[in-house]
Amino acid sequence: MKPSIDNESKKDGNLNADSRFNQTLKSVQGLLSGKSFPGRVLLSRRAETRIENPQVGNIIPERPNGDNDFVADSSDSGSYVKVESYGPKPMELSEERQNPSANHTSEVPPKSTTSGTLRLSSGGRSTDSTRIAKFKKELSAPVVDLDALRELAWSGVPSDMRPLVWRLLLGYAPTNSDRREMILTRKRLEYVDCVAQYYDASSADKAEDELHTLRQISVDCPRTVPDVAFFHQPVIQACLERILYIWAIRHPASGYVQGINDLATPFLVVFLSEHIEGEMEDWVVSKLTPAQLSNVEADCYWCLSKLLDNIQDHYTFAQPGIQRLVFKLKELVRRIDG
Amino acid sequence: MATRKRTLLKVIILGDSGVGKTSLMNQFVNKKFSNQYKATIGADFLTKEVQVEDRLVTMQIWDTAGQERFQSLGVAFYRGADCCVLVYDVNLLKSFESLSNWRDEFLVQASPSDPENFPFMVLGNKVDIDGGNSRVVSEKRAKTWCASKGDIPYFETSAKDDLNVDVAFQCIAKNALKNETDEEIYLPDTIDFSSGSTHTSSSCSC
Repeated sequence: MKPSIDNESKKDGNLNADSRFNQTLKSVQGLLSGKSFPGRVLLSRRAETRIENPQVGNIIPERPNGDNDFVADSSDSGSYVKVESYGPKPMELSEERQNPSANHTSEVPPKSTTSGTLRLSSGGRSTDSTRIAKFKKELSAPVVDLDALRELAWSGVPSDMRPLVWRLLLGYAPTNSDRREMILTRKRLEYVDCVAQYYDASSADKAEDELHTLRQISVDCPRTVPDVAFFHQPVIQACLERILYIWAIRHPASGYVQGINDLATPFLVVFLSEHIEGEMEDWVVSKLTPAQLSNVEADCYWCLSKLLDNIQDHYTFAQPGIQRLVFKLKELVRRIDG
Repeated sequence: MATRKRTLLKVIILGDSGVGKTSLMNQFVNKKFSNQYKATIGADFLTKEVQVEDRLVTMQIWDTAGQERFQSLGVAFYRGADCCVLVYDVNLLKSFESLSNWRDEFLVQASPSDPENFPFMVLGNKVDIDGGNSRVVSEKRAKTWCASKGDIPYFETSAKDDLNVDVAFQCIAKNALKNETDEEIYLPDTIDFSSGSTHTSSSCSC
């Protein structure tokens, strides 16, 4: 690949590794001793996509733009695990730093109460009017400042802005508002062309391994979010099947791997929410125009692709990405135990 | 019985995606069937105590992902197995044709000491579907294949209707016991979270 970038990122990674690791240790020790309860602990590689629980939060890519970033990210050498807690944590962390001696003593109950309260207030912040105003300001800029948007999105995105924010932070929609519609139109068309060329091709024109992939996907689509009826509408099943198939044949290094189907579902829900009102459970997709549905599907495809770009080695043979994370987790636990 | 040492039998369930491996395991262990299983990612296991003749044995049943991608994990999962259960869907020819591959894959990865006599079991699942009208693999054909592979015992099952599930697993336990050796049961490395949390608050120096 590009050794210079690899080395750079390695150096960079190593420099930061210790401080990040120590910070992480501190956070986790706080968590274990019960004095802070951040609620969520994130595991991620440096500069890679962060995944929150899709039911509660959002998917926030840390560095979605730039091909160089991607190259550096995919090199194994410079990457490591960062376990980071967030939400009300920054305040607690700074407290811990200023007053290290008080860190791991026993005044547990008052502290955890405090952070519990903070957490609640931070959960409510996404609907707070000043926060909404800030989101609006960032999103209406001629060129969106992704760092500022990411910072803002860290504690939640108002649901009506989520589709746009996700498209931007994943690096799918361009930050330049003048070019945005044009690029999205072009990308959506590209996806439609792909479907026509690869998915709609007759079985006779598909190679044996492509048919195999399609079989596997068609076994998994009905088993995707099996307990939510919405995902079992034939239109949604067909969308999911096309998205996964096109992704699979365009990423032959991993192909479709069971579990990727689950990653597509939050995108479907978020992008459909732009067009359908009310509770997801009651959504009827037949109310959408074919054009709307096609755009939603294309957006899901591209955002899924962007998300997976950062974690593709979780899905290649022998899952090196996952093995690395497990190793790092083991190392982290060892250091905390030690 | 109390004086005998408890025996752990490790059983691996293999077969194509969607043939009902998870359903069979859950029907046997939990007496439950659901239409709402997700695809199994990697592998998972459940245990159940069963009485085989006068012995109480614990069956550790490993449910695996059907997608070949996860076969790279096979070595870790298959090691120390006492019996291998091959499952296919009687309504899907492809899943029957894959049985040979699954069997070969297992023998290569688990490399049992006596591959000729290693206990396998074949289950033809989903016989309930469409009252049996949609089945494409006949019992005769399946039995012929089993006979050609060293007389592998064969059962036709329905995890949904709880048909033959107990009988099959009883037979699995019995055959696995015959193959019993004194080998250590292989367990993958685990990370113990519980021990760390108690002493961290007192011993941490930062």
